Amino acid sequence: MEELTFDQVQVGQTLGPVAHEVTRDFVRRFAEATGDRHPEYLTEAPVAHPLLATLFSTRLMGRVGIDRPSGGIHAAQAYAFLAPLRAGQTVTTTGRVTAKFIRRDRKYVEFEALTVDAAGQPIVRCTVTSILGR
Amino acid sequence: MAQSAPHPAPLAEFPRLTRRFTQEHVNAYGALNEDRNLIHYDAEFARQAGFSAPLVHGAMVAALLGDACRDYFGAGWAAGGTLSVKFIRPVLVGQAVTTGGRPHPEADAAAGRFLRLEVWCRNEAGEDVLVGEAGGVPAA
Repeated sequence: MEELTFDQVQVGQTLGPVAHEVTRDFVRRFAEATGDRHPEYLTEAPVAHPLLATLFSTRLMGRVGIDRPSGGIHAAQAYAFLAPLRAGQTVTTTGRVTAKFIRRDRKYVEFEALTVDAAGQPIVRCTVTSILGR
Repeated sequence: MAQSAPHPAPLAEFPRLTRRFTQEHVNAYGALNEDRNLIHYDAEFARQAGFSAPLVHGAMVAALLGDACRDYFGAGWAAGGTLSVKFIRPVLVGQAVTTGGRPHPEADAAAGRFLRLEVWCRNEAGEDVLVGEAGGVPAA
């Protein structure tokens, strides 16, 4: 995937759709990686950690080449959790670049994303502001 | 590493959860979010960027705050809860961070049972690394 620079990112640019299969192993690996082994994440039919949704937004940006140049960091994130995410679901995330601006010599890109289940029901809505590395 | 444990909800006070993320945690998280930014994995790259160790993925710190919100609001937080955060300072691999929260000073009584909180994560020096707001309806 070619990495997009700040100048190449366009406001209004659509991102995705990207599909994610939320397997039991995926839920468990997220719990292990974040250090939260809450029992509800480790059952045979687990509910996912709500913040697992952060992976969808990061992957969405990465799959289209935004946010990949090393040195970039996230500035802010906002999430509205609309329905529980469970293992066994396949969800789809779509997004849109909503703003880009330079502040204190830092290059900011803002985008919003919505993740829905297979029936189109919303799971999580998010807004992410990232500082690009170049 | 401190582990989150199931609590009856709502808790009288916002949970103070402490976690110290290792490079193994960061690597495992990176395998999930497909973020290959070297600042998370390469000590020399991080040093040249001005940090004494690689940086923890910011979303991992937000997830810790999410753990505290889930414990505070209960399982229903996953369907109707909110969380917004700003990343104030980087968290280096090996540093411990602790969650905190209190009622939001601008909480609107008209919001009914929907409760707004000011929330944060602080490092061992007591500095904010992440600040934000969380909202939800505490379990009955």
